[in-house]
Amino acid sequence: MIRKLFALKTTSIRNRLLIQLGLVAVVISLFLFLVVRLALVQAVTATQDRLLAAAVSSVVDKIYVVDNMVSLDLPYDTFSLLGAIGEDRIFYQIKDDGKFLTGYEDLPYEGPFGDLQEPIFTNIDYLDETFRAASIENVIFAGNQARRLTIIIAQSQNFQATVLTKISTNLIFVTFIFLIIAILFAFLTANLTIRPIGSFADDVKMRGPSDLRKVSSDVPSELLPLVHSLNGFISRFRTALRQTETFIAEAAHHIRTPLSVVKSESELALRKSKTPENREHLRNIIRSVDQTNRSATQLLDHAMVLYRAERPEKQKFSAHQAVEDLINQFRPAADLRDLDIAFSSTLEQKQQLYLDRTLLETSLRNLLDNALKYAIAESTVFVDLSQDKKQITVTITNDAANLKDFNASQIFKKFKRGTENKDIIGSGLGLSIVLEAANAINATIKVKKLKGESVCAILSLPC
Amino acid sequence: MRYLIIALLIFFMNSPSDALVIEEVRTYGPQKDTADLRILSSTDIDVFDPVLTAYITSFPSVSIEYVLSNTSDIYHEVRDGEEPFDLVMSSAMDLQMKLANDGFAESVSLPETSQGPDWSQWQNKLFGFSLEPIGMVVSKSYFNNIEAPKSRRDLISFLRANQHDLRGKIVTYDVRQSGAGFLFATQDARQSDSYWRMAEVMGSLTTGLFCCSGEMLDAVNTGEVLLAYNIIGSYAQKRSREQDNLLVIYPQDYTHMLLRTALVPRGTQNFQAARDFLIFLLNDVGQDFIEKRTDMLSLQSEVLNKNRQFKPIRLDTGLLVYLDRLKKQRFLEEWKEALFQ
Ligand SMILES: Nc1ncnc2c1ncn2[C@@H]1O[C@H](COP(=O)(O)OP(=O)(O)O)[C@@H](O)[C@H]1O
Ligand SMILES: [Mg+2]
Repeated sequence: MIRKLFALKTTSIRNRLLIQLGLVAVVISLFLFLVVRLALVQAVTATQDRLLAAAVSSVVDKIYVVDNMVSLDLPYDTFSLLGAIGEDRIFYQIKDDGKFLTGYEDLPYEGPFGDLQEPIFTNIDYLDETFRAASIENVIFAGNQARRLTIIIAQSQNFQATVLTKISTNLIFVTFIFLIIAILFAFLTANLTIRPIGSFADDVKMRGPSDLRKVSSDVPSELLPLVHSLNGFISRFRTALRQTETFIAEAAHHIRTPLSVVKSESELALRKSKTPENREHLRNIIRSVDQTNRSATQLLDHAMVLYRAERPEKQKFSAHQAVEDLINQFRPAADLRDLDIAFSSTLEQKQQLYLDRTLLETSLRNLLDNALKYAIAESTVFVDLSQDKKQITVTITNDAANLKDFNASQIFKKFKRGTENKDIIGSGLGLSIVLEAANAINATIKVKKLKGESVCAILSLPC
Repeated sequence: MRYLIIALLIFFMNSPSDALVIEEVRTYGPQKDTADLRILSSTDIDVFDPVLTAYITSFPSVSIEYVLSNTSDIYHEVRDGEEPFDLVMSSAMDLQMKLANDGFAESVSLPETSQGPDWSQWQNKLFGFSLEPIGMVVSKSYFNNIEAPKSRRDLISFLRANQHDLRGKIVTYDVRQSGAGFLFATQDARQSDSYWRMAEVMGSLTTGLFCCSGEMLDAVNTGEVLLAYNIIGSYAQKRSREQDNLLVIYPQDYTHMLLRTALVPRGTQNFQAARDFLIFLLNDVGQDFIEKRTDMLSLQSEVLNKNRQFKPIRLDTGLLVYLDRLKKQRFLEEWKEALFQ
């Protein structure tokens, strides 16, 4: 149980707070109960004392002297009243100059004695109980001689106990209610206290994977150190990332130049080469160089997209024009595979976009590249441009073979390629670049398989 | 009759004065060397017999020894006596209260169904189980054509007016001998100032002083005595069925009700048997039985509601007061002064 509590304690600030506040509430309740009860005991004792004092003085009233003898006419009603509330036992003792006169001779009390104005109250253990006793001494004159009378009246404490149990029951009830309210407040407080932490966590959680902006410092001051160190971490992380990106871009750039040299030298050698064996080797080299070159280009593209995503250069341009220009760039490549590109548009010529054109072109280029690469030879690739109230949509559709393992959820991951198209050059970076670029310009990209073995990529742009 | 009667009328012993004087012993149920339940009581066996018979009919395996004595002997026996009793019943409420107050009674917790009204119990030590009005008994033949006094005021003027007829023909308890008589007289004195006036008048008529109500009732029945004052109603009622010269009168100014009380003494040998008996005595069955089959009244008796002048003597520590040495001495002195002129 305790271990469980501690487990709770260490796992959550809220629970820890709750337990601490709860404990405080319990301690305060207990304290309250004890203090009020103590006050009660004092009040009840004071009441009993007053009752006893009244009893003593009514007994003193009934003391009289006949023939130099002290005598007493014990008052019935006083004794009746003393026992009335709690059915208390009563004992008394009256001594005349130290000589036992009447009552209970063995009552164990020898003094001190008060007087009528201020009797002395004590607890006496007698028989098997504790009694509350009032004692006084009173001087009376018998003949011409002063006599010192001592009077003790002792009462058991049923009355006290009865009143105390009655009130204590109520008190326990009240304390319990208090405790419940206090615990409810503890809940409330704990929840309110951790709410900023929650919203801070949400703030961080809601971010995209590449959102490396600083965290807003609009948090309780206790959390500021955390925010500061988090921000420090983010900026260090960003710097490291930037360095990696730059490094990759530069590396890709540096590789591309020697690669093109290798390629042109190999082509030259191919032309000059006579043996079919050598020609085969050279063709392999050229293909690998193409593949590597492509990967390098795409790495460069990737780095560029990441870089521009952070500081996009927005500009106004015609959507129709931009798409059409791009298609025209691809026509030679399409011709190589005997492909036709059909472009249709329901867009007005002058419909303007306002975003980073390079990023849009990068994503479109990669999509078109895929479409031309995976389209069946001698088929048609359809590019459609349309618009509704909220967005402009570019839809690129191509027929494709080997779509058995097409997995729409995997293809956007870096270096993930379809397994059936090993002989088609590609790096697996294309769609992830598209996704990154689309995110940067607030566009959405979907690639899905259509009925009848075709793939359709839909890029929706905000307008 | 299935029970055994051992009648040891007035059992004198040459031992000290505080020795228990047993007036009668009766056993109920199977015979055993020591009875399961030994009751020491001041209630006449004939009055209480129906209750005991009913109890052993319900619990045939229990044997009961019922020992009859007078209230003052009972008090001393419980305080200082050697004989172990399991239940002590007495009509002297003051003495019973003193026993309980001074710690000679065991606490007995009884089930809800055996809880009498609040005023009939003190702590859980002293349990009232029956009520009996205290009245006066007069000779029917004498009061045939004279109107009998209805209140104490009537009584005083009646006594004054008929001094010649009544000289030596009035009786009451000798409070020096009878604990119950002492209780009735002190409660009278507490209740009304006219008590002492009445005592004076009684004294002037040389009132006879008796120890016990039985003898007083016999004397009234024979016509030897015309009026007995402060007689327990249940005795008188019972006698009046056989002795047809007895007429019971409950004064209308006030009629004290005696609460017979039971306690379990500290030296009990069989606490459980005593508790069982108390449970029976105080639950609806026992109380109903007391109301209908004995001459006593139950604690819930209708009689109490119908007669406003019926006042139960309060079972509280006030009762201790007249047992105070000085107060008792003073009371007895005044009483003697009034009654012996
Ligand atoms: N237009 C398309 N038609 C058929 N398959 C496609 C098309 N676009 C993408 N794919 C599939 O998704 C995979 C991932 O594409 P991509 O990220 O561009 O990498 P790459 O084209 O370099 O292989 C491809 O290998 C291919 O299997
Ligand atoms: Mg690709």
